Amino acid sequence: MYERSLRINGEPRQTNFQDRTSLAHAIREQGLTGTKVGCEQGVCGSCNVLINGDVARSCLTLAASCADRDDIITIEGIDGRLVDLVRDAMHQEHGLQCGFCTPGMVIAIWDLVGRGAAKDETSVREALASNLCRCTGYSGLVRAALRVAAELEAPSVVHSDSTDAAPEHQEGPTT
Amino acid sequence: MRPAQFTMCRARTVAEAFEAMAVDDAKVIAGGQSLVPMLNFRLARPSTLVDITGLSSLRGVQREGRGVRVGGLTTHAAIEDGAIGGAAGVLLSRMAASLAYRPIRNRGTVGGSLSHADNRAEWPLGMSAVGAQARLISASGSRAVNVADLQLGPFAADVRADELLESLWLPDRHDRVYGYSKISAKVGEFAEAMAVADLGRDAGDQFTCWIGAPASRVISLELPMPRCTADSGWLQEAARNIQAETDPLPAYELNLAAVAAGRAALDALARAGERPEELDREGERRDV
Repeated sequence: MYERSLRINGEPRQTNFQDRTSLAHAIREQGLTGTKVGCEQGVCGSCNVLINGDVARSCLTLAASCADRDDIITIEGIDGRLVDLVRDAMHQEHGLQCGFCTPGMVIAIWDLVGRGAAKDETSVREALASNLCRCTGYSGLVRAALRVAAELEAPSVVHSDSTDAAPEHQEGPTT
Repeated sequence: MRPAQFTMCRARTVAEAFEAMAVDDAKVIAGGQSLVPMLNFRLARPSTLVDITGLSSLRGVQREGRGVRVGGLTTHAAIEDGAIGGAAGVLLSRMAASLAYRPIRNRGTVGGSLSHADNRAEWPLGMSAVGAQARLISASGSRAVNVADLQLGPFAADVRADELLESLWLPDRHDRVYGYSKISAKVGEFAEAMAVADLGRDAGDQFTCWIGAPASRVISLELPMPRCTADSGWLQEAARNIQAETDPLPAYELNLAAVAAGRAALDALARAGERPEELDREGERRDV
């Protein structure tokens, strides 16, 4: 175990880890616990991060392979209009319940819509086979992905959903 | 679990890689998408990992003679996105798209996959079907092996412990018509049955059928063109012919193989009119 540098969310982080430490564990040991460890074999998707801009499984990546070289972005660090649209759509379409799969899902949907692969329900469902969700049954997630794709295609100027209203303008009791 | 302890060596040159690989119990890691799960389950406990992802001579896709040379570190995602042109490239792109999931395809490499030699995976089948030839390099020289001969059995490839799969050479297949079918329990999983149909230059009465899963190594055989996939007479005859070429398989698996073969043939027929764009200018190169 010795100190090496991992570039995470634009910042170099000096950190100790063993050669066998996965990128997922190294990220979490930095306090960035949005990235989850689920299956440790690449099938559940809860560990999704971006490595040099491409979505990858941090549980199947060794931190030692990325040290002093690769640019890693986690759910905490991903920003931009597209991910804002994904987060908004996930909220509007009820694309999460317990939230465990959500960081990985946000990154997966961001990637699939960004690549132009969200063509229709079938292609979205096939692409989201990459991420396991035990709560939602996927309907909300699929709607969210298609909603973002439609928004990119034909951006709407005004959002008409009432849930967008700022708290101070809501009427009735607040809970 | 966490892997058992090992020492990581990130090779900066091919010579450095060979030196590190000479250590007892060393294992090469490229994309790691097959190896790291094995490390996490402790099915593999190498003393040393030799990370070859820094070796630029194993990257890139470029024209070479009457064909294309594909670096061993080329990712499945690059192939999915069309790095290899021509009829073979279109087939391989479709096969890549069915390989696991995009995050895995962004890291996994064609050289690593062929060296790992999972008989239920895409590349042993796909690269055999397009006539690819592997170049294996070691400190003592290099040798060429047809990918169709590379796989000896499940998880056993003709790649020695001191060798790296440096690149593949794919001959031009301008006029070939290919079809593909994969049957798996869930999208992205390893295949229960997988077939490639090669119609040659044009559809005729027969086609060349390549089968990966469920066979323990890739086989090829001539089959008559099916009329439709529900033709039980055709399926039974195809299953018999497939069994003649493979080690004994359960009837259910042979039937799946026959269904995949039939679907691949009809898929090829449906594509017979397409003429994909070629990577055919001498010296043209794509860095992937």
